[in-house]
Amino acid sequence: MKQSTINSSEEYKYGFTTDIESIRAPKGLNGDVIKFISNIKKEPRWMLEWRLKAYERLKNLKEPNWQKPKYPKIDYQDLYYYSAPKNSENKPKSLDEVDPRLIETYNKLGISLKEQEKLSGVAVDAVFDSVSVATTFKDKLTEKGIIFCPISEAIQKHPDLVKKYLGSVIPITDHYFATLNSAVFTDGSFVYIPQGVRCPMELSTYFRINASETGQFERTLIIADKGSYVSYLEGCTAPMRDENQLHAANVELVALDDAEIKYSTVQNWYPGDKDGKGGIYNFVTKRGVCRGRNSKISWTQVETGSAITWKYPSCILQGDNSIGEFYSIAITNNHQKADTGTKMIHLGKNTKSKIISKGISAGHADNTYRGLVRISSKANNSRNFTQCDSLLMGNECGAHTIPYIENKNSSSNIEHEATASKINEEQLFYCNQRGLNQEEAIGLIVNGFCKEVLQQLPMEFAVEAQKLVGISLEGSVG
Amino acid sequence: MNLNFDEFQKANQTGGELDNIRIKNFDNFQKKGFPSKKEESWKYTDLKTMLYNNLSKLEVPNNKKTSQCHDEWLLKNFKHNQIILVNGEFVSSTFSFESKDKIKIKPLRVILKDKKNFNKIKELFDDQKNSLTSLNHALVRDGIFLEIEDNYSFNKPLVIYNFFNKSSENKIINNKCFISLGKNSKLDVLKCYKAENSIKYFNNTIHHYSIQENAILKQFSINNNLDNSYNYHLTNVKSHSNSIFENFLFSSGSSFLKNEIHCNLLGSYASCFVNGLILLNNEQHHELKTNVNHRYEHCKSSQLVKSVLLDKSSGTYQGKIYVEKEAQKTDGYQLSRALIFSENSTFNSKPELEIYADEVKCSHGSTTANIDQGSIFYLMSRGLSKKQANKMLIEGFLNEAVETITDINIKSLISKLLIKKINEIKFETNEH
Repeated sequence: MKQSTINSSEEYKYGFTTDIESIRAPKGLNGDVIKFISNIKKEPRWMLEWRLKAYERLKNLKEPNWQKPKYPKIDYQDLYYYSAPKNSENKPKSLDEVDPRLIETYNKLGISLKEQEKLSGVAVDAVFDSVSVATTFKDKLTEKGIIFCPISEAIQKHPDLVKKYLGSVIPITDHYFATLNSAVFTDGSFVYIPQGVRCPMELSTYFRINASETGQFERTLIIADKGSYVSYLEGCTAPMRDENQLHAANVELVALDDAEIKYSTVQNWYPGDKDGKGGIYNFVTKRGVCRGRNSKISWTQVETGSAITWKYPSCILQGDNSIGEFYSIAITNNHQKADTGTKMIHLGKNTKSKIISKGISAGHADNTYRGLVRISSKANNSRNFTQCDSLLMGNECGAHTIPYIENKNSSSNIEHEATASKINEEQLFYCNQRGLNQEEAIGLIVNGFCKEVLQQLPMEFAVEAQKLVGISLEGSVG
Repeated sequence: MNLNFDEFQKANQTGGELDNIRIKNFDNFQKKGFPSKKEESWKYTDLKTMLYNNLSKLEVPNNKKTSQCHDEWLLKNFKHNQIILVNGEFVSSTFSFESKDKIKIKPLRVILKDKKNFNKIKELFDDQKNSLTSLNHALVRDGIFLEIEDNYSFNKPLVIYNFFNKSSENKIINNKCFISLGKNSKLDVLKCYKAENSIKYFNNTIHHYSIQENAILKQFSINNNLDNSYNYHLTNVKSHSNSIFENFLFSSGSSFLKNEIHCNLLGSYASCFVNGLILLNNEQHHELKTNVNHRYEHCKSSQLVKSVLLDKSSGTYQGKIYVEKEAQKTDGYQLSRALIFSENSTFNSKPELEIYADEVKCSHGSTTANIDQGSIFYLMSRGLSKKQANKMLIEGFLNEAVETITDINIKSLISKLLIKKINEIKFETNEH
């Protein structure tokens, strides 16, 4: 059996830190910190009350522990819940006023905010630790009536929309990490697409954790009003540190009648070093609800980073004829652990869902697909198709599939299939024979394995993701 | 519910180690109570509520001898060896087709009382899978202890009859069945269940099978007589290298039946087959949980479960293939297919793969849907009534599981029982 060897030449490209002065909330989790966050964000009273209510509930909640990757206990009192670049208090009006060091940081990450502004393409909201530092293309979007802004701004400027939808998908009475987020969330993106509008460009948010001992708790809320369409991209990176950092975000999507939301994630948080030291705990709650008829929500995720990934982007198919899709690639190498999958809850009639999950496990990693498909007794003529494939590289890693399939309706169909195997020796041989070395050959085969999912990504992301797939697996074969 | 353990303990004292084991295990049970939905492996079955609602007067059986059984319950026109258990008590055994010197058979109660023999099975009491196993350890009174020597193949199958008569009403019956199969031996076991007058009882049985090198054990569990019983059957199998364990379930009779099969493949080239059919109507609730543990190279396991659910019934399949790091070249397969016939029936499945070795071929599939209306139309257009068409399609669907049986006589026996069962069912399908 081939033993995995670690090639140390390929390091985490985004592991730098930005030396920038920051304001922090006092360490620890308590009512005062929540008031501090609410105060610094100049939030209205109802928002603070909402946060405190969540905090009250949190006190009686216990962390869930049914997941496969176990982690040392997190000391929630030993974290900073708010960290922001110092001069962000007076929010810059245009990119020229943004701290050049921040611009530089995003340039290093390959997200040139200035360039993006000039070239048409993607509107970016950049979130640095706890605050949104810049949002591009505001004017063009405003023309169409689209609201794309940091959620802290939306709370002040569009309180009616926020009040109506915030917490309507992930209520404050949800599980531990979701409730924690409700209490202390700092920033994130808010998107509202008005009725009948097709968003002319991809909307994108880049999240970066910079400060140490900080947890990042962002909250994203996307509302697609009747007959609208939006494609939203999310990317994340963090510096290399030998401590574990917590990232507990909440993402809520609401699709009304005939609306469609496409949500793509390329998650590349720092995965820890080759011995499993450091890295981000990515405990994220993502949930979308197809509230209207004929609505559609599609999740696409490429999970390559984080020490532990623990998330299940879900769709609640409430409206009749609504569609939920989930495309996922989860790559774990070295000591990374992933427990990810989806939930498709069919409530409306003629609802359809499709799940394509590709798990790749190398080194000492553990990769779990855990998913739920539930067809309720009223969801007549619903359909689900699930396919989960796992690829194992080396005999130190694990790949697991845990699907829950519940059908209460006799007119609905559920199909599920899963396979687990290693890379086909013949395919490798074929590639080698044609002059590709082992690593290139594996890259090629793995990309082919993931193709079904990569195709779902918007073009700009697909190229990045394809590279990322290659990089994540580098050094996993010897 | 009043499980009067003290009284039971007094009446069944052996003066040996078992007394303490019973007390310890009853404590364990009391701490946990009957399993409920909070436990992952009971996620789809709330036994606690079920027993509370249906068997609130559940009690431990007293020591009165109640072992009458009726001859008309025995299988006819089918040559076999037999063991008869009535209300969980070992009544008789006949091995008329076999050489008796190769077979060692004893009622378990004899083993439990004898110190030297008890040491042989003592380790079985360490198993603490759930509160029901603890309860079984605490309250076990009788069962089967069967040892088969090396190099002996049975000429005819062994049928284990489990009869329950009126004195089992509202009783909790705990048994254990221990079968050890020597090297190069072969045995077919058929288990039949029959209760008198649809009485209510709770049967909690643990089977321990030890299959040595090159041995073949086939188990066929036939639960086809509709009754009001509640059953939990746990099967623990230890399969050594080159051995074959084949298990077939006909899960159709009782109000509640949970079959749990744990198979450990403890040597290379061992194989394990778990196949079965679940055919339910009224408000029946059946569950099959499997756990196949691959621990050595070149082992094979395959599972096929076909289910048909009518009326308000619900079925569950929780299958698991576990592949350890050392178990390279594993071949593991699971397939669950279910037909949901009525608006009120439910099927849940959780086919699970847990794999730590890379050179493996593991896959699973699970489908749930209604019967194909196109096929019904096809048959009806050729002159069959809707009822006939439904029956024909169900029979064909379930027959796929029966086809996996490798013994021709047993296959035809089970096939006949299945057809009889399907004919008994009233079809009231709903149109959508």
